[in-house]
Amino acid sequence: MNIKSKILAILFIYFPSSLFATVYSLDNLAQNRYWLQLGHYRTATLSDWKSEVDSHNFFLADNGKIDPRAELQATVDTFNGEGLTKYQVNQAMCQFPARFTWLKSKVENDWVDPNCVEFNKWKSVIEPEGITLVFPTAFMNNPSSMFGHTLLRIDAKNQTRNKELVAFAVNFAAEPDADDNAATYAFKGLVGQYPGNFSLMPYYRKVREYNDLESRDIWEYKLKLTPSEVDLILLHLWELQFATFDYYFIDENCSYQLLGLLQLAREDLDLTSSFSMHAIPSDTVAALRDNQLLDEPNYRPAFGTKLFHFSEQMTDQELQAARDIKDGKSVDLSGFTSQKQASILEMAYEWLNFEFYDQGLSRKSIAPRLTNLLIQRSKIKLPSAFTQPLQPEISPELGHSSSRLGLSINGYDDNATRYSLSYRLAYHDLLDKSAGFIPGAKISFLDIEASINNDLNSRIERLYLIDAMSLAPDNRIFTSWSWNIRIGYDRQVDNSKHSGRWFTQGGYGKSIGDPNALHAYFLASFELNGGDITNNSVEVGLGSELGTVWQVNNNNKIALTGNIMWLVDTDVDYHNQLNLAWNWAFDTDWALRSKISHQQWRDEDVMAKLTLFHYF
Amino acid sequence: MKKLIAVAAISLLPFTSVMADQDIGCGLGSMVFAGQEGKVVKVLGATTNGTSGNQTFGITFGTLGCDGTGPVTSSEKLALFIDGNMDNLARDMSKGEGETLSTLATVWGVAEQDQATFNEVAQGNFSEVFTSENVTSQAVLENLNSLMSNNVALATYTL
Repeated sequence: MNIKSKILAILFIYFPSSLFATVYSLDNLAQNRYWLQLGHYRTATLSDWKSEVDSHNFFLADNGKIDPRAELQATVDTFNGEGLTKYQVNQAMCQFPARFTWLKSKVENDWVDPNCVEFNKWKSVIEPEGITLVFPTAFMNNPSSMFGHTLLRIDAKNQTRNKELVAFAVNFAAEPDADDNAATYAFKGLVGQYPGNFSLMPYYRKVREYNDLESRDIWEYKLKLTPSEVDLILLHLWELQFATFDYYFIDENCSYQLLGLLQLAREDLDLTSSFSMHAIPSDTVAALRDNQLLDEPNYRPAFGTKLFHFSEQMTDQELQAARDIKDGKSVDLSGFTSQKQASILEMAYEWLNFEFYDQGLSRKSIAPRLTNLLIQRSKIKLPSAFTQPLQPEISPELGHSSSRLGLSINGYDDNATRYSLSYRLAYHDLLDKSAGFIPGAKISFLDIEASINNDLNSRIERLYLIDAMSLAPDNRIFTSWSWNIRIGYDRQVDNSKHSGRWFTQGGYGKSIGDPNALHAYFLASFELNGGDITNNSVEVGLGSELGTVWQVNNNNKIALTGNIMWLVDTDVDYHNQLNLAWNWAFDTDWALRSKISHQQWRDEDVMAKLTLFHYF
Repeated sequence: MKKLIAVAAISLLPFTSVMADQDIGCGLGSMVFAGQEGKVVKVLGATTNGTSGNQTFGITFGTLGCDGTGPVTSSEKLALFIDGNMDNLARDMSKGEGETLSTLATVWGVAEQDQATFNEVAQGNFSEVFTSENVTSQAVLENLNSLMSNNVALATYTL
């Protein structure tokens, strides 16, 4: 036994054990992960710790926001009733039931369980037994919604499928100032100017919002939590009743906050600290999967998904009848069987209703027609013949991860070789493996590539701030426009060198085919160029973006893409680019991409490139 | 007698007293096909997780009754459900089937063996429940309730 342990042993013997234990454990407990999670503490720059909660009434100590130790002391003192009436102690315990439950098992105490009338009433209505993570996916033709939203559903005891809609949803959202315009809104959101808070509402409100009004498919992941773990989460949710958070769209967003709540289910659960700067919903789902918390998901098809699926079950003639009814023409349905009449009326109703919401048609003229269609349908005493859309085989969390790292070797036609490293913050391009993503949509945020040659001469090849594309083809019921936008920096072929270019480009047009098989697009395009290639003047380009993408099978895609832009007011007439690329995703998070491209501005160049991508 | 009191309670107390507070859903004033009024700012909402709709919800929202103190009663829950699901309820009733209609039956307390009858009655009398496009959710509840009272198998579920 060394001296140190001897001293410790003596201390144990001579100090009153309870005093020693309490003092020792409070210092220790203040650093305990669960305590830090209960207070939403994060390491900070100006102080050791800072809580993400902004409301003063969430803290019992004056400096509780930045001092977990002081907050712990204040909490224990309050529960010990120092200088307080029994009523006040009871109040505090009921305000912080999660702290109470946890501390009661951690510090020596003679606390009596409080009588929390309000909390018990609340819990008796919710009857919590399980929790489901709800993930509305992106909506059609809007890749930005891939960044989407997540929420929780508290599943009640004895909940059947039929009672799911009346379960309670837990939502974390910002409270934007209604007077702010879009730009202010985006800016304030990014710097955390809007307070965010948790709220509860019937789940049907959220289903209606996402499935019906926004037409987004919803995935529901039942979480593997025991009822007592669910209870712990609810205890803390109650504590957050009046708590507000600085709301940052990028990192401290809904996904992050929901994980912060869920990790209180178990003392050893840590869902937030490993979380990267950006919390994308599908990453949230993946974080839960990695902690073995996910059960098989359930799928709720969006309004648009259902409408399309119904239309696929109709002949051209039947669909035409439905279209005519939708367009307000009088149609004689007597030539159809009763079952077909029912289908046509259902389709006409759904279609008109879809357009009513999607296009914001006038209620005065549309509502009576919708009602009339339902009255006609109710007279046919047959169940619907339409089947519901099947759940896609690949749920979103099974797709590739959202960030990407690439290692490339580039060969030029003058036999020069460059090696490059690329990084993309998020999220998905047309050649990445499409399982789990909306087909025909791309969105890249902060995509950067730097290269070096054998003489150790390095340069930036590309920096895309944003590169988004939405290619929704027309079908029998939806007419869609395709579009793209790209802002950033790249290199163009100059006289015997590659010069930098800053640019902003946008395109608008059409696509045809099936994004899950073979599809093609043609966009009219407009761009503004600047930088070395234009000798730092601003040059306008007009032309087109076009391409075709062939999804050979789940793991292989081949794309031929290009653009040609005529330049106004410059020494060269046009510039163009043509790429032939093959992406082989040999694993969910690994791919090998080979590309041959031809580029022309002042001069032309051919390049062959082989890249190994890792998604993480 | 107990049911009569319940009917009196449901038709008088919560709904009339909170009609002014429709934002939080306790007023039973919603009509079918609210259109763009019910729609949200898509693009912003989607990219930023900003919520659509109003933000008057709190942690206790929906668990308290319409007077804001006691726990929500089953009839209040039913009224709120109809109010929040007018479009889908109308659609399901016209077909005599669907998740919203099944949920309504369950929330109403209709036993499983009577749900087929419930669906049939709802479809068969569609135009008596949804009397026009301007019918309010409160009227839908009352119309359904009187249909049930006139049906031998369903009379027992009358509010």
